[in-house]
Amino acid sequence: MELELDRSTREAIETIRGLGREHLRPLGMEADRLERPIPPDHEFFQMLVRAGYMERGPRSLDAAGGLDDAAAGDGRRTGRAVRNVLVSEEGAYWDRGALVTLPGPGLGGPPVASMGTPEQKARFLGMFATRERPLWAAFAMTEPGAGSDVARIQTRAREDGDEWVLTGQKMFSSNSARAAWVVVWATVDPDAGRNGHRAFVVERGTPGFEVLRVEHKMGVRAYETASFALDDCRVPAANLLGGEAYYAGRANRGFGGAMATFNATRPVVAVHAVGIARAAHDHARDFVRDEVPSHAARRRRRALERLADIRRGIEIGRLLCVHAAALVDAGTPNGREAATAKMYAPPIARRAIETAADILGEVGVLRDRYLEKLVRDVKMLDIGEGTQQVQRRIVARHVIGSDIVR
Amino acid sequence: MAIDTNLAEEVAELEVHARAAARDVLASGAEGAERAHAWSEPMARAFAELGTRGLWVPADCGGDDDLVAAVVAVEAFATGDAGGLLGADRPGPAAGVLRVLPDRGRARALAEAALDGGTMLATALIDAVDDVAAGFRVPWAPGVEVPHALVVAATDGVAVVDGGGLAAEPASASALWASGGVALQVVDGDAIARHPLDADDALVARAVPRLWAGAVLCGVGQAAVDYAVAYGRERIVFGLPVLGHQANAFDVAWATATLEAARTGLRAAACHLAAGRAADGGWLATLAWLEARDAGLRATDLGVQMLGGHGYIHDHPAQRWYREARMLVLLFGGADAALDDLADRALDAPDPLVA
Repeated sequence: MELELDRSTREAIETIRGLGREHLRPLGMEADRLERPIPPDHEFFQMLVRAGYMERGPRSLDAAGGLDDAAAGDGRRTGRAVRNVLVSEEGAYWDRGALVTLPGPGLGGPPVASMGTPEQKARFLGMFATRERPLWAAFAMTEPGAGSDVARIQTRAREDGDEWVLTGQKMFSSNSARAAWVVVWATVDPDAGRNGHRAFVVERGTPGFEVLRVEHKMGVRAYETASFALDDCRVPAANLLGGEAYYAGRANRGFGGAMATFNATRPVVAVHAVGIARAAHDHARDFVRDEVPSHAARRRRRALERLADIRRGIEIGRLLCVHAAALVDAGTPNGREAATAKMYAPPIARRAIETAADILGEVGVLRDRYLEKLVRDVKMLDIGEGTQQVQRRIVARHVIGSDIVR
Repeated sequence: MAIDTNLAEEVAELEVHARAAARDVLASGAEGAERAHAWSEPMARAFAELGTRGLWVPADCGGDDDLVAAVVAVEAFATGDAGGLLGADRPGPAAGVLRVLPDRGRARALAEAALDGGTMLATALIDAVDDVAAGFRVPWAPGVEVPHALVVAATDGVAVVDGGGLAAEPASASALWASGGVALQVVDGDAIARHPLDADDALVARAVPRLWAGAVLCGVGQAAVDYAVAYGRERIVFGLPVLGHQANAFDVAWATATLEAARTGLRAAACHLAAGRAADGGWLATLAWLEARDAGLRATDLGVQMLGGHGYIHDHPAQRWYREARMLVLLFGGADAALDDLADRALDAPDPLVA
């Protein structure tokens, strides 16, 4: 067990901190005010890409697992998943919405990295190693009739010669309206349940792929959350993620691939809540330090105790996320730990923001509206990437047994 | 330098052995030990044979100085029986003062005597080191006999009080009887030694007892959850196993998650302290102790609740874990002292993983 930041992780955190202060928070605030995502042709994205960000940033090819680990040069190195968690927390600290809109494979990367054939990895992840233009990828599982219970997805996949034909509708897919490709989960047989699941890479411009709308959300408005339809959308057999061999011989392989993706991404999404909680904490801490007079001893002491309680949630929550990621780095199954982190962190963030708002009071909250924005932003984290209830169910099945907890 | 929360292989092995001893020896003897106000000879031997006492003790005091392993082991033991740990785990919580006592010769002498197994060290947390002179009462201090010495961790320093100035009184506590069931009254407050310390070192002296008590709370809580799960898988209610009802299953999930949260925090705090990062470790240990407090209370409440009336009677251990948790949270100043320590640092507390 080691808890000392190495040089490369420290530098990565400091890089995203600079980016966050200068760009993510102002852009996030602006997107919130305008009630629309940061447009894909925004100069900020161009600047990032020219600087090589898509190769190494927190939503990048590197974070998706698409790059080999380089030698650290300073002894032991923090694993990729842990580093990604710590860097992602810093990004979410500045603005979670703007963080999610950063170019890169995003949530589309992990399934390609874990399930894809070498050719698919080269083809779909390799394109991000560019400094020419911003690119995004996306992940699409949720449907109008299948949210938490992803085994019920109805999007059909039918083999036709050397193509697959996809028909159905997906929703709540981040960045999918601007994505170069989307990992779409479909079923070859709805009656087969999880055993029928397959994952396909659907490329932008494929006939039959139609963006239906970009959702109008309560918060985290900087990134787009889109619905799209697949109307006899034909993709080549080469776009079946992992190829036929991946699904042959073992039950539930496609569904398992989706769950493995969630186990890799949930610690990252959970730590976004920690970053948001830390932002709220720092807002309230600065208020107490600078604006609560020392002669208001009772008020000040009470505020200090409440700040300490917020910190407790932040630090314990972060450690849960780091631990779930450390298991990924160690190659150890982490389904329970990832769900635990995702279960724990969003509620502590919500409580942190509510406590910070209490400390600031109405005038303090409304002065720059940042904390008011966090009140709305944070709720998404208890829903996306598996709701609070889904996480409890996962943990319960691990602890009690899947024969008892259905 | 790296961030890695996975346990070292030898620590993971120690956990397996300690859990086996807890299951095979301690758990079966716990009820009898509570009645006898002492661990049985096989229980004491099982604890001693694992050789974990030295894990708490600094290397220059003759110990193994592995706080992460110490926290892991004490939690594992507590899943079997926490009732006797306060008496048996010497120096255990006292090791916080031993880590920072400026008189290293005295620290070594106290540690060696404790590691020999014959000398007990009690631990108290008070506000100011000069308050030792006023006398105070230490609840649930271990052992029927008066300890050799009492180590005191204050917010501004540490002190050592000679055992001759202590009186043991029967305590009407509701749990931890296997540790002796006495309280200590400091009747003659003349300390052998009083040492002022800077705030960070003083917090280390207070943090180690919190690590110890937090780990014991996690063990007790985990035992309660494990027992409730075993019961709730079999007992049928409204046509389903108790835990087949989502309301109950979700409660178990949350109790498990909060125990895991506390456990992770305690181990991380131990890691910081072991690496000599006093400010980081002291701060995080105090946060994690509060987390363990809440998690232990919640888990042991659930432990009774899932069994219903059966949880309330002595046919099942759930009632003992419930009582033990509610005593453990009062040790070493309880939540209020922890919150005071945290509030004092709330504006400039360290955040070691944020660069």
